[in-house]
Amino acid sequence: MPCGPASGTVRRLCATAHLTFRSAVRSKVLISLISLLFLTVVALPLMLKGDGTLYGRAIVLLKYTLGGSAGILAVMTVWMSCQAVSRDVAERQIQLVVVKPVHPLELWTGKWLGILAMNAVLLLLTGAAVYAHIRWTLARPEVTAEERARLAREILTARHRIAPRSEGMLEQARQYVEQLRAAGRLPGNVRVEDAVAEAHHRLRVRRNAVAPGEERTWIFDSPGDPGSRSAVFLRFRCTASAFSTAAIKGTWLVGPPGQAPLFEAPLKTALGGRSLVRLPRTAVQPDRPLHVTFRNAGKDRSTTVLFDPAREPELLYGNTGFTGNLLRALLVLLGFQGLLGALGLSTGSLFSGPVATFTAGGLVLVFLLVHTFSPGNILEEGTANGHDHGETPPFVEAIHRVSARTLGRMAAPVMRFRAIEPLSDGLHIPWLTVGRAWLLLGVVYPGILGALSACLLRQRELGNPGLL
Amino acid sequence: MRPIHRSRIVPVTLCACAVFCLEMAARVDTRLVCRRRREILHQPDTLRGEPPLLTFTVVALGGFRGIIADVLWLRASHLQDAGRYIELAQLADWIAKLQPRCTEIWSYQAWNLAYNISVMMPVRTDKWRWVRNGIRLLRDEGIRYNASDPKLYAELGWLFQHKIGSETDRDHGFYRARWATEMMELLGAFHPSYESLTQDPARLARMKKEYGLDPDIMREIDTRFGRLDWRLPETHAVYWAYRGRLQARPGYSIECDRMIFSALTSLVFHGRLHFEPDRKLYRTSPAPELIPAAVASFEFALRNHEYKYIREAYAIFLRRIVRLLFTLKREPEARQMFEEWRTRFPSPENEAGFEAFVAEGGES
Repeated sequence: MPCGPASGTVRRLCATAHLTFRSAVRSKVLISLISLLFLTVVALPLMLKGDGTLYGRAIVLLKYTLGGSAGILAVMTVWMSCQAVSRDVAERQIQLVVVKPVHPLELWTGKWLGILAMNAVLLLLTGAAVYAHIRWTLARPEVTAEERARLAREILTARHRIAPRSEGMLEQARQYVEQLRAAGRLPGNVRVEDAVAEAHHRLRVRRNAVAPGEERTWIFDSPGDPGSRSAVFLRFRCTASAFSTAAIKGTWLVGPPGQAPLFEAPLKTALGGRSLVRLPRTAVQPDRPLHVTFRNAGKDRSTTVLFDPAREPELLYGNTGFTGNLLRALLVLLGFQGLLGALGLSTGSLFSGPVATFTAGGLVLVFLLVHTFSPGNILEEGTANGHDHGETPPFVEAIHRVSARTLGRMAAPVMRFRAIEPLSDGLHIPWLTVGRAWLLLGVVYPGILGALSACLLRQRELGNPGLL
Repeated sequence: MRPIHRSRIVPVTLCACAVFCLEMAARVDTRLVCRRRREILHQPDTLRGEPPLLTFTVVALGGFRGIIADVLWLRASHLQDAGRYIELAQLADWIAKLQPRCTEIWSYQAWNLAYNISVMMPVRTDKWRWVRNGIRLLRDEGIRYNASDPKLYAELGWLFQHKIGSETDRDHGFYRARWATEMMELLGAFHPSYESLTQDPARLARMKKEYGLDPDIMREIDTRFGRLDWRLPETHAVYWAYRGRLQARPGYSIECDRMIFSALTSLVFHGRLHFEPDRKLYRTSPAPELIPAAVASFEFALRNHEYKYIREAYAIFLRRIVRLLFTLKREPEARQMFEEWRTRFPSPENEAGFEAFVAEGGES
């Protein structure tokens, strides 16, 4: 059997991965974390209550069991990966490896693959446990057929989503700001991109406010033929200036403009909550765009209906199956673990175990905080919504702003991949998203981190007694 | 003599320090527990009733509970803004359990569920479920861990009296009817037969477990205030306030005493229920037989608390009672109450005498 350089690399990678996996299995800390993971997967679902309905319980189960497990796995991954290289260095095992014809990148990648394999096994077990728990819940005799149907229709499904067509509001906002600038009415301390963002937001808010007697139409691309067994839903979120649903009189109209509507339904929604309207098959024409209009039939000015500009109405259709969607969600989560593993291995290549764990954990925490309190929410001084921060020196403010913005930009490409929310919302996670997530989280970022770590490992004098 | 190895000195010293610190902490803790018990700040002895998970959380997380609670608050706030209400009941439960002794958290979370979230729902059954979630959080969890705090009982009573009993919510009629139906199913009638209850352990257990109703206290309330209709939410307000009063130390039951007199006042005017679920009939009429109990509850509150508004509330009650009794053609009693009113709370309204007052008309 020929044994070229490629097969040699694969063999070395497999051997390193295997050793990393084995050493992880033997670790006491890891066993403790796995016990915690087991508790999360088995005991947490039994303690969840939700809002008192099976529907609510299923959402909470999916979100918190998977989210909690992913959190524990993240801690485990960071710890395991930080120790993987630093412990080898501390225990002088690395000296046995570096004298062999193993490239540092192979060593790094092998360890990363071992950590990834461990995560894959645990994530698969977690997913299987969640799936089994949902099936068990559904099979219980006290669950009514109605509850079962709602669960199947709204959560245990994977529907495609169609957003309304763009109305060129961003372009309009740009033009507006350009006019302001040309007229010299744009204050010097306001950046153009911030002004455009503000104008765009205001325009969207205005367009999505439907006063009594007014209408608002959204145009959607046709979902095609959704199939005989698949329904099409309109999902929306709105609130009102009146603090009661009963005060709002509104109607949904679906059909081509200027013609009698093919479908009509009264507005029925939880204020501020997301609601679904099932559209009959007759209202959806496979070859034509779908015009969905909301007409506010109220008479009192206080009953203006306000659609959420950040979550405009959308069409949901089809069903690609919950099991496959769960699998895709798990794959995205595995991608995140891959990134964390790469980060941990890289810091572990630089520092000793505790320092590496602290550094990697700190970085993850900072990115999470920046993402949670996103720079979009940090208001600029001098803007309409800004406020004076009093005694904070301007340069400190500037440093805060710049660092938050930079970190936010760095975190944004990673944080845009979502797995648990679409899964619990019954939304289809496309393979394309999984692929993109893996390309970024599993190839690009780990590739960069791995290459940097390999360089550092090569530069580092691993046989130096001072390191010991 | 064998020299002590230097490496042993440090661990031995550290162990001695640890033992000393533990001893000191134990002494301080014992004194603190005694003082807590004396001041009835909370009941350290009731920890035995808590589920193991809660005890584990409270002990194991220590001060970090605050950070986790903050994160959950942020998430709850974000979810509420985003209109994702489903998780809020669960988060409210966790937030409160992370700080189980903080009664304000229980009352805020219960109020948020029962008032803020319920009104957002489009369907009345969903609204009712959220009102029930608020009640459940206080009754089944909050009071369980803070049994000696009268404020929580009063908050629970408020949910019954105001959220279900008053007309501020557009769907109050639906809530009342649902509650009355549940009570009919539970008690078999508008009033429980305490004798037969003792022979029905299943019902007894359901009363205690699902509704927190203790038949002994119910009987005590009936004996003290008169035969109340247990299908009415105001009766449950009286029940929970009464239970709170039993737990409160002297002088600290103001919320419960207020709740009792205001709920009894409401029962005097709407304490007789004509309820036929099949015909969707839910009507109330006055129950003047409860007037002495209401008067006694005002007198009790006045004796125990020196607050101006209790006197004002009592004066208003007496004025309304005079009109009610007069309308019900019970003139001698009306005159008697008028005299009481005029003597205790002289005002331009009652100085001209009974005839002038009733001739003036107005609402009762």
